[in-house]
Amino acid sequence: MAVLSKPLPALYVVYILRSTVRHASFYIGSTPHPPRRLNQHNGVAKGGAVRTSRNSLRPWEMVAVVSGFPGKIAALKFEWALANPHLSLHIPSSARITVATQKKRNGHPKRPPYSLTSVISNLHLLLRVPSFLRWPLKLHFFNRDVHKAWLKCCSTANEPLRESMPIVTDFEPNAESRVVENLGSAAEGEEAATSPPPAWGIHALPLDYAPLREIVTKTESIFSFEREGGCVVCGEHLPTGEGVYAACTNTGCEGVGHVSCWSQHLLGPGATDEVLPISGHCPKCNGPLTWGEMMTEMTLRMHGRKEVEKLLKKPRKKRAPAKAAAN
Amino acid sequence: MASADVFQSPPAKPPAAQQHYAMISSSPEMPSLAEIAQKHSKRPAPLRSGSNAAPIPATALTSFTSAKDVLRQAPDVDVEAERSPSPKPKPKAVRKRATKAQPKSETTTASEPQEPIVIPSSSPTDKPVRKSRSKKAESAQSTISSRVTKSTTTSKSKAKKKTETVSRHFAPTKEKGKAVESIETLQPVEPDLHQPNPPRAPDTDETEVSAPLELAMPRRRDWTPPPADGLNNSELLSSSSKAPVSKEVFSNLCQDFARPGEKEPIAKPSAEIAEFVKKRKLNDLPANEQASRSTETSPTKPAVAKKKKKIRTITELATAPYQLPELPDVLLAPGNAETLLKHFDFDGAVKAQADHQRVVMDHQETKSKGKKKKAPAKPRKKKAGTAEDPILLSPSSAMKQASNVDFLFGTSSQLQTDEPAEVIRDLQAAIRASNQVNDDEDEDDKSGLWHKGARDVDGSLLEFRVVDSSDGVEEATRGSPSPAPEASPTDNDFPDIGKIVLQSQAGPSSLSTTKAIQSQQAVPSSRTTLPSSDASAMVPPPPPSRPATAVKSKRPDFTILTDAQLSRKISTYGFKPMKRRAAMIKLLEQCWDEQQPANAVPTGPTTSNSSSIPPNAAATAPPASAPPATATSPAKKPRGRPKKDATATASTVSTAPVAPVSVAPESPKRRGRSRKDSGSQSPARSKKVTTPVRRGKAAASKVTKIEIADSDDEEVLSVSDGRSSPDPVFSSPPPLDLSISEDAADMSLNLSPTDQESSSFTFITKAVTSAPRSSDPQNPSWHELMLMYTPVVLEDLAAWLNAGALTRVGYDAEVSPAQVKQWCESKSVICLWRANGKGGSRKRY
Repeated sequence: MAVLSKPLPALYVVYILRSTVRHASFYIGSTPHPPRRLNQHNGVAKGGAVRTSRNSLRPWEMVAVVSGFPGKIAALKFEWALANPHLSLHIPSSARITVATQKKRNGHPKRPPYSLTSVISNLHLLLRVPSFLRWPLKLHFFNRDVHKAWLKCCSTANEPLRESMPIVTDFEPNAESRVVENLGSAAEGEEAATSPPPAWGIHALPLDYAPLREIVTKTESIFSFEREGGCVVCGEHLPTGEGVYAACTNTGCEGVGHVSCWSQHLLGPGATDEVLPISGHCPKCNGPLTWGEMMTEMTLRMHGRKEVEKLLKKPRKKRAPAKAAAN
Repeated sequence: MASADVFQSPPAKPPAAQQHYAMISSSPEMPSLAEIAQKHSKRPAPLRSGSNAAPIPATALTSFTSAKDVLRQAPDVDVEAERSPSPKPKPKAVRKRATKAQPKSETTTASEPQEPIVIPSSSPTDKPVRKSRSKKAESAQSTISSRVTKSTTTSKSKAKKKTETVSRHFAPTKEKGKAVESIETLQPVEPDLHQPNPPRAPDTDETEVSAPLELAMPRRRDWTPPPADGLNNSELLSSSSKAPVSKEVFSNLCQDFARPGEKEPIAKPSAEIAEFVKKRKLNDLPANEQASRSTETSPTKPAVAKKKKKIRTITELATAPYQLPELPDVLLAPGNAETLLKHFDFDGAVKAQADHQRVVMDHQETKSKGKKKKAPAKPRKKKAGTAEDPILLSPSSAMKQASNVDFLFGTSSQLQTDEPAEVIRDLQAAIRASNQVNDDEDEDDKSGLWHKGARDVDGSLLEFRVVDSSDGVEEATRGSPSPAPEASPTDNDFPDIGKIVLQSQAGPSSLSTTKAIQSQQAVPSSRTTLPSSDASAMVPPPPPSRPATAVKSKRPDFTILTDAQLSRKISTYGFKPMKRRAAMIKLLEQCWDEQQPANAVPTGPTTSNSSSIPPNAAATAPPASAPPATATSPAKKPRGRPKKDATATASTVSTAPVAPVSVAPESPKRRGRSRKDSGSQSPARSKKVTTPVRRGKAAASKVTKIEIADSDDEEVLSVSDGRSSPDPVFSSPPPLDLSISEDAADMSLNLSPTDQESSSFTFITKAVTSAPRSSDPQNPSWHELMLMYTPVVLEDLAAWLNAGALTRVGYDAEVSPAQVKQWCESKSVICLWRANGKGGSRKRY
């Protein structure tokens, strides 16, 4: 058994990079640190991709980002699928949009060139595909044109995106403020909104666990003082340190339970065939829950002692700035 | 044009003067290469600065010129012209002056190279060509050579062309060489001196050349950098200032390099260029020169060389008739232009080629005529098949001939016997006939002690090979009264369908008469009718080999199958699907071969029987009574072939679906069938029934084992296909079988997996979710891991599921990691393989 030695990353994104000079040039990548990565692509920092090294195409911009990947492997899977929509086995052949019509020298099918519509429609498709459907993903758009293309794609797609998929737009500040469109986006939207004016787009994305500070602080206290009590779902007593317990992420709610119980509850009675819950409501406080968030907190608590300490330390030392950032 | 005059002038120079120039150039006083180079580099500046020198074209190169540069500069100019780049000629001019003033020793060296050229002139056709080569090699004095050749060959057209080339050379050289100060520049000033010389020069050159032809020094000259250049620089400069630089200077310089006696200064410039610009070329040239000299010295040499060439390799032999004409061409080549062209080709001057093309064409025509004469003679020789030109057979014809040859193998003493070939052949025929009969008997015998001895406690064959060997031994002892067996290897190697058929035909007859040896006689008679090849085949490679070959021939053509079919068949053998088609085919062939021997063994002894027995016959089957030989062979082979062939109706059909799994039960049936058909005919078999039954069981057991491996599911059909397909020769065409089987298999594949998936997936979900939750946060359960978005290692999860998790849920079958992957992806569970694509294992997650 492979035990995850790390908590879920605070941020891991798959991004769509577009040349601001030549809008038909796209690049698809993944990173836990979009601003840094963007600098690399633009040649500001060392380590950009060769594909983006041409000066005539610089600077690049991240026009859209899919965040919330529960790890590098997941992000790489999605990135590859998005970059190779003509090959990815995650896409059922019946639904495949991009089909290779040419072959490379080595005989492998050649990927048709990207276009805004193809990338966006494939993104839409991949977010619907069972392999990624239940991942705690979140969609960000940082460019109006791209968002328009997305909306158009949504209207033409033969299948809608899952309802719970949060979609956030964060355009350049001089225009409108971002629009929060969906459920989970509420929290994110607040964050983005609270970020200082200059920070927008990828620069507004949280790179660390700071957004979880409140939750972590709460659960820390619950588990350190062994206030787990009984499972919120099954009511069984939760002996400290003898199981994998998840906690409600809503402020003020100290609902704790077995992970499996949580999942059962969130999945509901009808979805016996599914394994991964996406979101739901806490049985205790009835507040909205996102499984990704719960798991991030839980894995952080279980495997990320360092990160937790760091997270909890910071506020003590720099309470003011942290809070300012949080607010 | 003045330039034209200038051109003419260099040739006009008296040979003596040229020699002087040459002497100067060869002078030991010459500075080192480096010095020269420096001087050259320096020169351009002074020239440009000089009032007269000013006209240097922009294209002119100050530094070393390359062939490309030359071409660019003088695209229209002939090769010679191209060769004379502006900067280099200067040094030559200097040399010329120096040579004039300097001792004659140098001139002699210079003259030597030229001399060979002259010689060719004496021997018209052959020599000129050679000379031209030498000239080219030396200094690309092709123009000179061309002239000589023209004069010698007396081909007007060539001569014209040559002259044209010359004139061109002069003109371009002048243009290019404006910057250069050279003797020639002086010459233009003093046109009278030079012009008169050229006409004289040729004659003098020829005469002179003839005498000292073989002097080696000139070559060295080429190697050594122009010595006088450095010394003469001042002079050159002065000269340049005095008179406008002309390319003629270059041409004169070239003369130094060229034969001293020869008329053309034009050639000289090229030589100069070669020196400075193209050291490599020069290096190459000397070799050519040497070759040319050798040829020149002995005008008749070309022919001699041809004769001397001994064909030692097959390639040479094969190509000789075609090559011979070429040699004369080269030698005879009337125009130096060709040789020049070659040089130019080296330089990459295509344009030069184009210019000379016409000339070359003419030459070729003449040559071709000559060749034609020669060519017919050679073919005749070939026809005759003389030792020199033996007849080369095409592979196919060679095979035919070989097939017609009877080979007699034996010890020397055996081979010494003077028995006529006919006797031996008859003997062999008789031996074969007797062997066949023996085979039938052997089969009967085999059922006895031999077979029992070959069996294991369970009644299964220890090794079929053993049986074969016994047969072989028997045959050898019986069949070979004469120790030396005859065999036509080709026949053995390549089984004939006709042969097989014949055998099969013969088989039944033999079966009917199994008891009596009398049949032997009958058989031979029938066989005598057969082609000798068949008969010969029988002898040396005893029965075991025969069946094997037959089996091989029957192997299905896997290349016909589609990838899907191939993968299916591979799966029937219990192998994992492979990506590479070639690999799949190879694997299938291996599998088939491996299975075949088992089949072949039984058939081996009874080749005639097995083959002869029609598949239909097997239909009626009293299991109890199975003739040993027939039983064995049918047991394995019949499954596939007979079924397919099978005219036989329902019975075959029913067997087909059963395929490998059901083989065991079927085999006895077939035996019975065969009996029914042939049973009446062969009482002997009925006697042996008991042993055959055992065999059948044994075979069945083996088969069953295989089947177990094979039998997973719906692949039965495909398996049947695989087996049936193998015998395309006898049975119905494989494609039919394939199509049928494929369709069925496809259907099954399509349907079953989905069903399985759905069922197995629900069970997997159940197994995962219902597993007890872990009490150790550091060691979470699979379900908890999935919930935590932890990447799941497919192999581990599959192992865990198969280790009891699934059975606990009530699912008996096992799941493969691939299935688990499908499940994971359908549930959005993050999964990955432990083994990465490169065979390594993942260490970090």
